[in-house]
Amino acid sequence: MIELAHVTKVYPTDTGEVRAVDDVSFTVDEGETLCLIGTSGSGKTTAMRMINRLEEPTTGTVRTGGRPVTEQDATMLRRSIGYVIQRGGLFPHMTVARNIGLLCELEGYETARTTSRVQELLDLVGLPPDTYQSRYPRELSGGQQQRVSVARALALDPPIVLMDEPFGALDPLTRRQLHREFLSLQDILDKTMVIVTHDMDEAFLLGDRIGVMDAGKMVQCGTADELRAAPANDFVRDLLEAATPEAPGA
Amino acid sequence: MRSPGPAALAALCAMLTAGPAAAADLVVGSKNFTENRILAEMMAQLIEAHTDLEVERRTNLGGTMVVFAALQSGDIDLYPEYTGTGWAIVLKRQGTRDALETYVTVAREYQARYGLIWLSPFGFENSYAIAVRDDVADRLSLRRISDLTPHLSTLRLGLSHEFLRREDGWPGLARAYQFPAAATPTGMEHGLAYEAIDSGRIDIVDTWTTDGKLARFDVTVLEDDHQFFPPYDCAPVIRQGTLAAHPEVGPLLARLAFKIDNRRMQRINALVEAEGLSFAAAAHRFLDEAGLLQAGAAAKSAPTPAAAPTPTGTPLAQLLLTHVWLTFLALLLAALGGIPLGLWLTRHPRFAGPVIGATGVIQTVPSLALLAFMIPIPGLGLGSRSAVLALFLYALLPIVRNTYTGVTEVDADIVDAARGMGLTDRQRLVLVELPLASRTIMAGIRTSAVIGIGIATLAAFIGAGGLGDPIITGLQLNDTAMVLRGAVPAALLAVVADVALGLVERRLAPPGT
Repeated sequence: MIELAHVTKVYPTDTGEVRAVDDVSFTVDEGETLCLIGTSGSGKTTAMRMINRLEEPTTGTVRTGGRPVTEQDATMLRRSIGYVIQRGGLFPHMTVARNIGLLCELEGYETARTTSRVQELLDLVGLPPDTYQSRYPRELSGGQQQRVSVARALALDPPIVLMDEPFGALDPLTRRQLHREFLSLQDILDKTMVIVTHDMDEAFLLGDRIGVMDAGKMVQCGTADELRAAPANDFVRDLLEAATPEAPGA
Repeated sequence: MRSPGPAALAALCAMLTAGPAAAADLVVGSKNFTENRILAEMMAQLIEAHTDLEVERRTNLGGTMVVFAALQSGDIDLYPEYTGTGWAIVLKRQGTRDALETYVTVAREYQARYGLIWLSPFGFENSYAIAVRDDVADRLSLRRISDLTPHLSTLRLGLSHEFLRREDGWPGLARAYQFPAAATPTGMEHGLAYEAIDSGRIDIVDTWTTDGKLARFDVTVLEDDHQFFPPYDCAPVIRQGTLAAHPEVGPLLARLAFKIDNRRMQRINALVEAEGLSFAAAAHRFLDEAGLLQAGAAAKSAPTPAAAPTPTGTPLAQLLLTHVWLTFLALLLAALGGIPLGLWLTRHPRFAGPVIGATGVIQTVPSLALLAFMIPIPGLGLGSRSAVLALFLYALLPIVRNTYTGVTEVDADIVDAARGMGLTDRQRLVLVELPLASRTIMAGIRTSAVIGIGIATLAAFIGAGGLGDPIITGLQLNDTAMVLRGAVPAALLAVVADVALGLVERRLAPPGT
């Protein structure tokens, strides 16, 4: 479970300060997926990065599993949280297998156990291990890189997964394909997830609930139906209109 | 080249770890030009012939400040100096014309300020002089320096770099004779200036009154009619402590007093420069003819003139080995120091600007000046240690800068992913950032190596040896073949190092990138 309670993040600038995240509170229950949506600069990425302590809140408290993250060891915390970013962030000098198995290696897994875990994960994300495990990232397509990135995030079987625009850099066809695979993965894995996106269709498709952010504030947080039934303001209404009505369930 | 086996490397290690002037009782130094080196040899041979003292020679030191610093620090015990140089360069005085007053003043001041003693002069005066090609002198009726004034805009002046800079050289001369500002001399190596005047590319050179080349080239020495050039009587300068420790040395060196006049010094210089005798052989011939080797253990450790046909007889392999070793050691130290420093800066970026700036400032210090700065530092002195430290300082900038930029230029997404997935700072550095920066870091090491091989040729100026030895001596003797003996291997070495390290660089490049 993830909780943010009255979290604010202030950055100093030349002309004063910017409130990137302004008194935001939300909860993501066990096994639930929350999609944070908003324009760029709305604070959605910063809000997410405070969960694995890539950013520290100025005020307010972030908790995972009921404990404030600032009281947890940063390295241990991050290893209990899978992390996927937009362009994968794969290590270009390591093979696919090493990228995925690196954390297992650092956690002291025996080689055989690491190898079987890597193969299991490659199967899970639909990349036949024999073909892909010894390739380097640049030998993969964007979609394949993103699958490896997801596999890497799942290596230690973390209870929480954070994804920052995971499908944003992909072409529409590949994205649709990955969306379908992701949905079936979600069913199997039952992770607590936060996904940052700027695509309302994606948010409706992947999120159990959707948090709409604008200018550092959480404008509205609820299920797709709740948002449709009672949009909090014009900003939410505009986002809803931009979405393709029949997209869910497509 | 014989292979640098473990024995040779061990010997070189010993050479580097041995303190400066370790074993010898007495160290005779000299500046890096023919006359000074011959005089140093004379003094050394005279002492060896009449005492049991172990004498070491540290000749070929680069210029007044280097040799004076070495004398002050005790790296050398004595060397031949000129009164005018002591007056103007060391004591920083101006405007004397009287030879006796100059000698008395420098002798008094050296003793009071530095505890250094001027012994009796050798008897010749090595003054600066201005020489004009004979045909030009005839055509324009040039006899005195003041005759030059109306013709300076059309005459071509090729002056040595030191003369151009020294207050008792061109700047003072131009003022004293009120030369027009239009006179623009070209700076050149003195050894090459005679070639240039001989082939008609320049008309005027600076020279000195005992220059052995004066007799060989068709040039006329102009009279210093305004008596601008200060007197340059030559005499041994020795540490007071050395005289006290070896009281027999003072009277012994006094035997050389007033034994050599200008013409004789010219001839002795020509023995080396025109006839190809070694410095030792020329010195020995004079001592022998003057009867200074008799009435004592004359045969003892007398040099064998035939044994050394060229002034520097060090085998090329040894020069090359020394050169490689100096550069390699400096590079190794720079990598061991520079890479961690560069990495530290990536973690403390606010220091990056100042630190990289500071290593950059070191690079702007002229190489010879940096080498000279090292001599007075305790534990360094003349020779390899100073050279290695100077080369190390030069090698730092490319290594520190490339390490820092190599690591900071690693894709921000990759660094973010590494942090976010829970790598510790150290794991991120070792597993991700260093491998991805390795090629850039190696490129820095490669740059440093090529720069270092070039600068190491200057190490010869402070007696560290290497391929600079034949280059410097060759320039003094106007011997192009000797210059090439050092320059060609140095250039080849730089090319080989560049190519070899380039291959290492490519191999080090992480796979998949």
